[in-house]
Amino acid sequence: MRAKKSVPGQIGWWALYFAFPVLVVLLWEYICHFGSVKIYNMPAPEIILKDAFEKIQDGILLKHISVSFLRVLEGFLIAAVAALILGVLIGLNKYFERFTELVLQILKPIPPIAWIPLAILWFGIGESSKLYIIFYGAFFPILLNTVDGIHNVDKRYLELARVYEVDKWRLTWKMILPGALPSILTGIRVGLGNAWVCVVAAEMIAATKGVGYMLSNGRSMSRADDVILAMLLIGIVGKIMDDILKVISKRIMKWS
Amino acid sequence: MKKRIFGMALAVVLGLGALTACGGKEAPTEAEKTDQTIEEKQTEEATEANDSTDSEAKEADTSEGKVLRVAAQSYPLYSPINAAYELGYFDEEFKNIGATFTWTGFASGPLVNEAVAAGEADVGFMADLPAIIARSSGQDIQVVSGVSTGERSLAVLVGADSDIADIKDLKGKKVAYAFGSYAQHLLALVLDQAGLTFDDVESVNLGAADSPQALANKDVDAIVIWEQFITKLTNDGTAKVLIDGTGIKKSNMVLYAVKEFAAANPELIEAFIKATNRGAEYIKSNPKEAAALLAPVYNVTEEEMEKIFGNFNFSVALSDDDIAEITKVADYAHEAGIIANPVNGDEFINTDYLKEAGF
Repeated sequence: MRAKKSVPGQIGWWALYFAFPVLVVLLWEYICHFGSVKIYNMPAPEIILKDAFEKIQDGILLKHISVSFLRVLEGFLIAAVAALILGVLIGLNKYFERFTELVLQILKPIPPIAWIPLAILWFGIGESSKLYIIFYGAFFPILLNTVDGIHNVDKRYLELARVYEVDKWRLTWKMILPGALPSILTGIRVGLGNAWVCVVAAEMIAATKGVGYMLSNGRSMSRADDVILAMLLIGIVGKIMDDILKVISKRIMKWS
Repeated sequence: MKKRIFGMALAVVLGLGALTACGGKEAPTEAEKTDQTIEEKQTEEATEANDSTDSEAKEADTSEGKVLRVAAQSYPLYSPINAAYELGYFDEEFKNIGATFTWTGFASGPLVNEAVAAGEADVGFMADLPAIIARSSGQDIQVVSGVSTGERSLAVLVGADSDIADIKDLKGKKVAYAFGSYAQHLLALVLDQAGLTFDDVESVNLGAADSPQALANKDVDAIVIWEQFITKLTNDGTAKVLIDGTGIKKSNMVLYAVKEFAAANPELIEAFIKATNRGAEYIKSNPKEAAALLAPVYNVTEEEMEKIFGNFNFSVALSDDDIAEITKVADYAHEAGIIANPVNGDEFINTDYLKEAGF
């Protein structure tokens, strides 16, 4: 897409982009109508579409998406602030790094879904337990990329700064953070992606709205069409969010 | 076989194979199916050093070597089945006809439905509503037997110190229950009696495992839940009963079977029914021993278990009244929009197997 192409070339380029999904849908149709799969195990694409239209008309689809989106945004922002502050502290101070290392390394492999029982006990079944799960999912990618980014800032700049007796605050603001920025932005992108993935797990806790709720409710109600629709929504919204962050990252990189 | 076709289809989707690989194959033929059951029987015998290998040929029966795959649940609602399993009644009944069974435990009705939909199980037992939901989604299943009923086995609970004294007080309150479970139906009936609807309460979707905690923490004002939780929570002082199903809902637990399988293997279904009936009779005539047997299965004390038994009527029979009740639930589910396609009670319930088994 990035290469400058003639108009017919561009059409071909986009056709290539959409050819695979179209093929998948065609094959899906074929299997549903001519294969031996049961409709309750694999509803045909038009059933999913019908389900989607009904839910759009009700307004319930938009409601599910916006509820989940706000939850993710909230959990992600809290995680971003916490991870950035902690990441900078760890990145700048090797004693603090040593001090926190073991606990963080043990916490890191615990998947957010494993926290669900405790989240319910600690925070109840309301909004805070869901935010906690999302927070947890977003926190580690941002933290680790921030620390890595700071560690990878060229040591020669730091030596130079020390020789010229630049004070610590200016050093951090003017050299270390800008140097670590690409890595931090990567962490934020991965973190947001993770937060969105975790919304499904989070909304399994007594939710009444959200795409994760839609999915688990579809499961309880033997509605494979709802399940597939929810999965597609999670995928599509996740991709759009990542695209938006990619654009923002590029802008930020340009002016820094 | 279906699985394999489906997996193949997926592989193609992922770009691994040729487009033509998965054709319009029909459902597995009888021969393929028998292959499968024999395979399973062998693995069963290999893993379980069961007593089914010796003197199998008591009767030269057609059910020789057949396997019934059971998707099971362990709750007091299914005491007759759980007791029969613990007492070895299933082993005996299946040995009598030279057949065997496999037993896989699940935590709730919807999960049993999933296993049956995936073709991994032939029979399952659960409450009326989840069975109806499965039928409505297109699964070709039939209710073939009752397990238990119990008007007091399903109730709306509030905190022990709650000032909710009347159903009308539920207005504007948070009520937790498992969406799509038969608890939802009781709540609908109860609210209706008080002139309220679901719009008057704040519904929270919570499984039975998490509801007691939520009520104890005052995260919710009321929960709709079944035994053993009613007895446990009222005994330990966490909750009191606001209203139970007495005179409102009979709460039928049912056994359902995949229609095609049951028609082809009626003697396996009948063996299951007979074992269940023996379990029910055992509990009725030996409540103390039965309580001692099942209390550890449900993680309750023996005293609690006896009290719980008192809230049930254990029987495989499906009376006209039961059929009317289940039909009522199906009609409600459709009217309330819980299921998309209506379920015809008469087609859904088949008492032929019960009659054949002598009930």
